[in-house]
Amino acid sequence: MKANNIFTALGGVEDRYIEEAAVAARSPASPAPRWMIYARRLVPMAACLVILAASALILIHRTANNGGGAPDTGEMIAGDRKEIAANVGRVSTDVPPQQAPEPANPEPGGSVKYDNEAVDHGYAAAGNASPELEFEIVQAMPGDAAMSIEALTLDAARAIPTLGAYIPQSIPNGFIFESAHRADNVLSVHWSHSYDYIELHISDLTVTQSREHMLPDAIQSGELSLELITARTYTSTESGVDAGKWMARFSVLYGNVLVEVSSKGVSPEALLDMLEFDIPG
Amino acid sequence: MDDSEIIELYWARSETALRETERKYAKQCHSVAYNILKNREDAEECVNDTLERAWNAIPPARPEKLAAFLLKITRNLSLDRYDAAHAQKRGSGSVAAAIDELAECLPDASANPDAILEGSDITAALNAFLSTLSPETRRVFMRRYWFADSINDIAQGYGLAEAKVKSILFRARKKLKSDLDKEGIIV
Repeated sequence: MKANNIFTALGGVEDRYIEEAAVAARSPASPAPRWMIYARRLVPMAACLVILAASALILIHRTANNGGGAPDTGEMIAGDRKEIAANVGRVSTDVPPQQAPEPANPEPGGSVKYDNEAVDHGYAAAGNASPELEFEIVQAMPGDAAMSIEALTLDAARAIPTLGAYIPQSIPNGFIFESAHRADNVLSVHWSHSYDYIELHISDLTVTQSREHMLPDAIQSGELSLELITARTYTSTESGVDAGKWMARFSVLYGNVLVEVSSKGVSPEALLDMLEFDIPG
Repeated sequence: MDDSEIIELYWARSETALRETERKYAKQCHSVAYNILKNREDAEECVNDTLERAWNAIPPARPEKLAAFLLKITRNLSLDRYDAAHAQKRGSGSVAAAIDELAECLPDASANPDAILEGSDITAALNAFLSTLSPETRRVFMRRYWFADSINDIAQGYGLAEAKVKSILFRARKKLKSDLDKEGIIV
């Protein structure tokens, strides 16, 4: 048997390769202690819980200080473009009312600038007994591209030059469009179906270098095959709703455009069907 | 005790050499033997035979890398023992799976149907191939096809997902086939 010859011939390879492999790996006869396996899983979860608890405490603290008038956090996150015509909101405070600063006027045709002084020093607007924070920040300062996050509909995402053409037309049954956004020259699109999901991050490598580290493991689009995709998927060993689910995380390179795929609950066949498409033009 | 000191004990014909060798390397040798033989008693016998062979070989040998020297002996003894017990086909479990995977690397016979090469030529080609791999890929390749570890054991040993290990091996086999094709090597 000829493959046997390769297996046998391997016995004569240079000692340094044998030593390198012998030294680097933990012996299979003595796998990682069980406590370490659990620790690897529990530590990230514990860290997430700590962060969530800290965020909740901060939010509660702010709510208490603002007398129940704290702004909706969701509205403060940069998202849709809006022009704000109103003044900067007033902030409730325990500090005795002082003369309020001049409200910031909107720039002609632009968004309102955030008046740091009004908030930091808790100036209350004259005559207002229980002021509330009214303004919304929905857009980063003009020209600050690094902070710009643009929320999109699916049609708007598909219309984006270059990147939009790589959003698959055929999505596995049952998955519905959740969200799309563009940030730092990367177009991200998200579909979901109950607890399952498909996430794509699409970037043009001639424009951004932030994804170049993905290239060595990327599949060339011309070489897409069920075998290659299957090699990059595994079934979840977690218990509960994720038990036995297909999990995938890999990239496909279509010329200069990199499509990063992350999914749960999608078979390799469905992923192949989704990713094999002709790029128009 | 480091390897040079152990080798000096061999040269001094001190039986402490065997105790130190067993203490330091018996586990790894047993792992290689067990991967091939899948039988604990047979694996232990191979390890004992390895120590005996080492005792008889050193001196005059003075191996530069004692671990590799011992593991090679163990692997060869294990393969010989397995071949003797299973005349027709080698391997069950991870060894058979590893050999089946290596079948993908066989170059096209049509490229040079008259070429017949010695095993040493194949080994030279394998050394050249291994030198082109990244350290991570090379370690995973060696653990699978030299040490005959299972995919699961390799994943656990290096802290990788099994899918990642399979992907690394797939690309390595593809490259090995390409390299053997380029060299015109027929196995």
